[in-house]
Amino acid sequence: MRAKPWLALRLLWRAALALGAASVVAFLLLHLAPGDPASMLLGSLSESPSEEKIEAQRRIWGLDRSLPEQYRAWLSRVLRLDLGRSYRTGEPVARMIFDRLPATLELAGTAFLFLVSLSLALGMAAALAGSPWWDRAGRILAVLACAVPHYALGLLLIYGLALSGGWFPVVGRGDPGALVLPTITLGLSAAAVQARILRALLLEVLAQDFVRFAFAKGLRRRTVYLRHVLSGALPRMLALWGLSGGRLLGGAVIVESVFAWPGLGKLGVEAVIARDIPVVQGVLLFMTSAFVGVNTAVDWLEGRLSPRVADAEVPGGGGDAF
Amino acid sequence: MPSERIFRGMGICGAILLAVMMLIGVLAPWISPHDPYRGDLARRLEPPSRSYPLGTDALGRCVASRLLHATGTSLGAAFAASTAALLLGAAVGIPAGLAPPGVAALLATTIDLALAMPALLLAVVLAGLMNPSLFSAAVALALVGWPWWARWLRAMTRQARHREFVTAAVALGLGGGRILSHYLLPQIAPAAAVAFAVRTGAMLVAVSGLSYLGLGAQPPQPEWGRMLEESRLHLGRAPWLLIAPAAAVSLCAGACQMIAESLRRRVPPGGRQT
Repeated sequence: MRAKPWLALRLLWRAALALGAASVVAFLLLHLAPGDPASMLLGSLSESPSEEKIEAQRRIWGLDRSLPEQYRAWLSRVLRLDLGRSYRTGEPVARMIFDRLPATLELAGTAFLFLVSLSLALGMAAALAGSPWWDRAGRILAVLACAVPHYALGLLLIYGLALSGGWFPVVGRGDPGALVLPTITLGLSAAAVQARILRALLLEVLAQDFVRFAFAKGLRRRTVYLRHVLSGALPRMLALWGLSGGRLLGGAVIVESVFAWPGLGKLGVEAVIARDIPVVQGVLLFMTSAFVGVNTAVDWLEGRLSPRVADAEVPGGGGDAF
Repeated sequence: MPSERIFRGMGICGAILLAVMMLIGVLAPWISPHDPYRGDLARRLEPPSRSYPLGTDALGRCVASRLLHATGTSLGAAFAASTAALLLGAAVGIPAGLAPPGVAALLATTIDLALAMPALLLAVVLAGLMNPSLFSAAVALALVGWPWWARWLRAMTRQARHREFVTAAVALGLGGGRILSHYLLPQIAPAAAVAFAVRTGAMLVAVSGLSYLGLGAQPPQPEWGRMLEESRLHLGRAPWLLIAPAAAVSLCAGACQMIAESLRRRVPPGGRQT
């Protein structure tokens, strides 16, 4: 119990460190990218800027100062949510991100609901239904779903259900039907894997004495399963589902490109291909903040729910591992 | 149990599948029916036939030949990226598990911070900033893949060094290098093989994913992700352009999964989430 009050503080400290490291990486992108930042910034505005103009602009933007000084100036702007302007459109990056955010949240949200309900159904069927066939089916689905990459699954769904059947719109965002295929694509593999983990957790709880006691009391099977077994496995599952929130954000990078879904992931990929560094920096910072935020919240929750974690070292963070 | 036997068989199937794929990758120039780069515009988007077993693409190139040539490209890049990530991860993770507390804590924090970034997005950004090519995609993936290995190896070495026979070896005065190579690594190796199979499958999916986004292999180089991207425009007319490379990626990634799944049953569980 002793370490518990410090858990939130330690987690916040780690999150702050992670964000600091991410900001350094994002800042360095501008300098690691091939080409001089000033001529890139100016080149996007006019045809071919003169030497003196580039030199003058370097001074105005402070590019002639040392890297730490530049970093400090850049960071103070970022903290005021001034992420600069896009090389391509001249639009403020912060506004571009907030314009695209609802689409990404919508997709990640439905994919999350899909993931939770499917993994719950499959995991419970495999552990509790009694027939070994559910378990085998779940295992095979997990191997299959992990084998087919997001982009291949997305294209196969487009071909099978949108082009041939005509049941869903092919790409884009608009009516609710357009959400179905990207949601399945994004959520299926994670759901299949988590169903396996839920099954293992449920079997672990099933083997414990209080479950046998509940049966011995003469409680009905359904009551025992719902009230005792499921609620016993729930805290760990909550943590797992939470961690997959970060993974869904990462997966959005590819799934949004496949379905031409106008979200943050697609914005990031487009900006990377066009070398639109301010947008790349903005998307990377924003996504990392979201990722770190979700993982910190989950770690905190897990620490509150199981004292073992709170007393051990700070739990190991998520990692989307592609 | 019969199902256990099924899953052991699955591992052998996966290993055979992967070996066949590697062989195909090496033999591609000799077994492909056509030149993967030369197209015949008069015969574009033809369905599978006797002379073109998997049909032709939008430039009239033989899909089967491109698929065979892509095997070596995709698998080779995935294997290289996976190995590089393992070595980088070992360089940080093993010291993090063995070093005196101060250094170990510093390394552990480094690993934690590296893991806090969304890996795939970071790989996209890094690959895009280098000149896009298959090589830079593999480099980018190795650069974002090492923290996973570092965390895993740190956990494993910490666990391995507390076994009694390791303590005994230390008490006998054996050198650090000998303890690492004779006492610690043999404990880790079996589980590391499982993890390597899983990670190589993930790398394959990621390498092709970067190519799909245009940040890996560049045209006209044949690569599975690239072929999938090229199939998009002609999906309605020429589904064979999609199905062949999708099956190839899934087969390879699935083979890695199958090997991992059957090994996992024999190896005592160690480390967190493989």
